[in-house]
Amino acid sequence: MNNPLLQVEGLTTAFRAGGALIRPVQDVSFSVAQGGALGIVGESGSGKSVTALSILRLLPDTARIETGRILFDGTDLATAGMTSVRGRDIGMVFQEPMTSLNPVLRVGDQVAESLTLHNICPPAEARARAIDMLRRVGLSDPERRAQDYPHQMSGGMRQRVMIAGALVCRPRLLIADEPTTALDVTIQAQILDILRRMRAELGTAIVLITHDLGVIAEFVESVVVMYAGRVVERADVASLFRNPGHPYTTGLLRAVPRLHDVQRRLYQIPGNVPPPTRFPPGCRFAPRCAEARPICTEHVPPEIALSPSQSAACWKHTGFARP
Amino acid sequence: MRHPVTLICLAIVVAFVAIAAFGPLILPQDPLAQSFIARLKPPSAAHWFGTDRYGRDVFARVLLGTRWSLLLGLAAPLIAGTLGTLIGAFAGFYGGWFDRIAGRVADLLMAFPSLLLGILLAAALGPGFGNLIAAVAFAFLPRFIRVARASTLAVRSEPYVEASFAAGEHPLRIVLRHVLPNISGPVIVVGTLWIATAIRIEATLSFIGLGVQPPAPSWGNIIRDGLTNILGSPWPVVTAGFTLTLCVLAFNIVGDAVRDALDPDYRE
Amino acid sequence: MTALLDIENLSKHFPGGVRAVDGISFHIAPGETLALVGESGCGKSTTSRLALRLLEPTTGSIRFNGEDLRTLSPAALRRRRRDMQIVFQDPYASLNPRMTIGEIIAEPLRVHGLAPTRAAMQARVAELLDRVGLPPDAAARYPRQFSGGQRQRIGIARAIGPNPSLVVADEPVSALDVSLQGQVVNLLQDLQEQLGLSYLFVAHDLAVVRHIAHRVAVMYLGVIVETAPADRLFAAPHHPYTQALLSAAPEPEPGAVRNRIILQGEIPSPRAIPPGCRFHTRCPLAQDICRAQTPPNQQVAPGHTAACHFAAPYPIPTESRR
Repeated sequence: MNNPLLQVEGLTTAFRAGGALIRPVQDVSFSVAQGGALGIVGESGSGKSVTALSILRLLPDTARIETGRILFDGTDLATAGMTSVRGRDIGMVFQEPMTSLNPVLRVGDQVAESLTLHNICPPAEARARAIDMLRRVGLSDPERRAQDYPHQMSGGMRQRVMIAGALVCRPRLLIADEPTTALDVTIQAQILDILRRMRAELGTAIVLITHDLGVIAEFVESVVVMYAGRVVERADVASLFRNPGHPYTTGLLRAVPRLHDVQRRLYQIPGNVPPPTRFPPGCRFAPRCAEARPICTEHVPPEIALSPSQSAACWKHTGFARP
Repeated sequence: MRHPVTLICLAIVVAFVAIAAFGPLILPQDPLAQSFIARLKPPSAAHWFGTDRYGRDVFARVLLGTRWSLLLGLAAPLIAGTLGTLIGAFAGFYGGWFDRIAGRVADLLMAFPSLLLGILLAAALGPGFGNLIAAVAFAFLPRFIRVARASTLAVRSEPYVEASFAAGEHPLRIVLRHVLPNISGPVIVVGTLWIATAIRIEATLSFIGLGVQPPAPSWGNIIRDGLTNILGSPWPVVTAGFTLTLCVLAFNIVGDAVRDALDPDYRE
Repeated sequence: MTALLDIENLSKHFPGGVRAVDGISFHIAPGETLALVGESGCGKSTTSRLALRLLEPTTGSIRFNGEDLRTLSPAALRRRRRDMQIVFQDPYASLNPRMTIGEIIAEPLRVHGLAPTRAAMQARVAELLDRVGLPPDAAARYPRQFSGGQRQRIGIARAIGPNPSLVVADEPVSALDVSLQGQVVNLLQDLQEQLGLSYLFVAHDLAVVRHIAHRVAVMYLGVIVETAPADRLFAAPHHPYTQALLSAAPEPEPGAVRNRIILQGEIPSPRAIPPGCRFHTRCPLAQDICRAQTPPNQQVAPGHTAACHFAAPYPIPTESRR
């Protein structure tokens, strides 16, 4: 049981874009414990969503995994039949529940679909289990609601349906990519509450991908911080927030507007997030980093362990010297 | 735009336009000169496309016919495009009674195939090249109104149009500065795609005698003329028909390429 | 102090019985930032358009500098627009892709004849670009060559060009990454100080509002349920909806102990607004009176009103963290 449930090692994903080859994800590694909750946090262009799509092998035709291994429960997902794992052992929830649901199918049938698809149970039982799952995610009157089409529901309800569909096979891992970003804050609170409850009930491990540090702080145990396609820091959630090891993490934490902060001015990180076509050499955060030295723009920093549960890819931890 | 087939078609289009512009200057033979002894000849070094039943050089006739086909092919979409864009843009932008009337009329005209509408109008207006252009342009008009109106409705709800309202810009100038430039892409695409159809309609109308009047040559009347003796010599029909097909195909493919290239998000 | 913008009993009903904005009143003083906060569908964006009369109100008055905008002729209204500008949420769609940055920023200046010569226009555009922290050569480039944060600066330069006294900012940072939000919020604050601008700042993110607003109005289903000076609203929210909104926002503080109110149910449709207090279907405090009677706007402190039958302070437990 000490084996991690999901292990991503040295993942690099490349896209062909207008003749050029871009790598929105480069050399990304992390692991998720059985029943654990890992957060991947990053801004737009950080590669966090491409990482999720790479794990699920849902990349578009123009993309391919260049290097790296993805082990699920010790099995390489490149060799395992992905279609049998996806939906059954790994559930997924995306940001936009409207586009992820089929508009011409009743939601009850969509939730039951993965049960019948993987021959887990006969259709009649699948229906009953789907309705039960809809009730568990907090849909009132699930028997009647199961007959609805997605467009008859609000964004929050559709996201509940998505979660029910992702969890109905009782997967061991749930990958949730910005599951609450499109939702209002009071609805977001409901959805996070449901995810938390379902995790406790079913023992499902969760990879939660988000740009929202507030959601990270409240939901996960360990965090991977991504910037411009690379992992810049990994840590347990308490260390990350109390004692961030990478200047980007520090900046991000300071930049987040806080409810109970009385100071008028917001901290700002100068510059812009580079697009994947123009990733700078060396440390990709160096052009925006106040602490950057010449070495930072020349060489990619290695990950330096700061404690057993925290490491950061920053030259300042080696005294700006190459080991 | 860089695909080899597209480039070949673009070269063909340019060649056709050049022939239309300068054809009369490079005519190998007089397209109207009849010759009793050289009737219904197959292609030869002297007559590349052979000769017709009056002994006229088919190559020269096809060359000269290019002029009429392309003139109509370009003029009709241009006139219909300009008028239709203005009508569609104002209808979509202002809405109200003008929009309702323009919309209904466009719907009504759309119910007729443009070929049929062209035939009806050409017949009603009588023969003559000016009438032909007017007939085909009118037949195309509703399509441009539709495209312009639909694109205008989309652009009308863009925040940059709202920004212009908020800046205090006069609505008329908003149409000119923001709406027309941003709907020009789809309109030009429709325009290029209808050039081929216009050429086809011209050929058809000339074929049935409503277009270019003999003895002046056009692809349509060369084919019709050749049909009378198709068993004697198929060459006029084959060569003029091939030229027509090549021209329509080239314009269609270039039209598709223009559509792909004109989307502002894909340009650098 | 007279208000720069004074809105009285404003409403906007759309066909099909949609009461998007349903009788709201607020005012903004010169140099002040009023934040309009609420969730999607509460009518805050519609209100921002009504305030500038970019949308025609169904009822109510909009007094700008003492003059009712609703009585102005179209031409007079267009001239008036020089004084009131807008910054949009979407930094991509709000700039015409076919115009250069220079042309975009010049538009309001040209409309109001504020730069009579070509040279004057170029100088003014360069000055505005500099004000928002962009290089002068940006003027010759097109919107697609800029990132979201830079485009938002361009939108701001366009808005401040004609020296307006009021700028409506409709969710100006919600489409931006966290690391860039600070840049834009700080820029807006700097410009307010330098130019004495008033802002109507529309947002759904209370934390951002905390940093920029002097006063906050909270909207729910087309009405304002609470208005208060920012410090007071965050320290002692009186309306249960404001309280829920504040407690629902996740905070980047792991292990923070909080008294979270998780509202049940969905936001009702503005087509079918509940009778009585609009919030009663989701309110943890709802009683019979809430289902029957619309609560009046009561003043709970100077400048602090709440529309609730049971308005009472509910301090968010900031001190009980960790």
